[in-house]
Amino acid sequence: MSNPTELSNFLSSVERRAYKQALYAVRNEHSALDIVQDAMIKLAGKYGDKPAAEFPLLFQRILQNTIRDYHRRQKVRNAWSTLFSSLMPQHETEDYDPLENLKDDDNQSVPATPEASMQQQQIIALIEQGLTRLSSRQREAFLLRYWEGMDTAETAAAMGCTEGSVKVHCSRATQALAEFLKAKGVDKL
Amino acid sequence: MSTNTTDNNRRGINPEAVANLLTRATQQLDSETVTALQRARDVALERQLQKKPVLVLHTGHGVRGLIPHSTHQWVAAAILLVTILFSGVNYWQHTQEHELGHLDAEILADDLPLEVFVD
Repeated sequence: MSNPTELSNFLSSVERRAYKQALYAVRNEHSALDIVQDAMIKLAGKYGDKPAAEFPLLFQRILQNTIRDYHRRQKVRNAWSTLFSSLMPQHETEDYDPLENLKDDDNQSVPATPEASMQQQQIIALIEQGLTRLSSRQREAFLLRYWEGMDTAETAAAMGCTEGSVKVHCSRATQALAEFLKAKGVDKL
Repeated sequence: MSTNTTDNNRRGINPEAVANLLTRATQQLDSETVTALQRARDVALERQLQKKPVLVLHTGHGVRGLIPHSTHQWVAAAILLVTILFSGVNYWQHTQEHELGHLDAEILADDLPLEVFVD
């Protein structure tokens, strides 16, 4: 049985990584924050009385499911908006300028801290860009396995798949990321 | 371990190094995002499920706890039962005597109507 302090400590230790995971998946800062908040509330509300040792796996399951729910909702919303936009006259959408809303992925890193080198910042930005290009399952497996430090069995439990699938996803993700970084001039990491 | 190292060399990427850089990136989040995450955490903590203590009289044995198990318990239960029965009978007798005494007192005092003597 956990107490509020244990849950608070766990959430504060995981919240930034969770936000980044959601951001890589949905590529929208506000949506990523909403997803993390939803996942936190679900964990606290439904599993707040569980032992603290169970929090990491439970939270990752909830987070990944919340991200998947977001994608499902987006798919439905996009289908409806496509339907309506096809029914609308073209001149009504002419005011929209994509350049105003285009995100510059190459320059999205925060201002460099004194101790961090410019080169490192560029590599981080490239890695983040590479992660957003992976398939959702590959990214999920890679981040859970190597960033969250879960073993294959835990990753499989969090993703709801077999350990074999986790290994395949991780291998392909690593290979795809390496190829992307190599194409951008990063040979070794 | 050596297989992993060979794989990493072949791929030119070390997942642990990538993870370290990603962790570094989380330390550079802007203050607005950090504040929003902290607020989200506070909201979640307010809704934390806590099992509240329930006031229930529970012996831990259920109905079986009421049944005597040893000879001593059976004797104690029998004594308790006899005492209750004796007290009940005694009380009933005392009430009867009290009523009869009251009736006698009223007869002697001539407070009763004549119909009472007809029966």
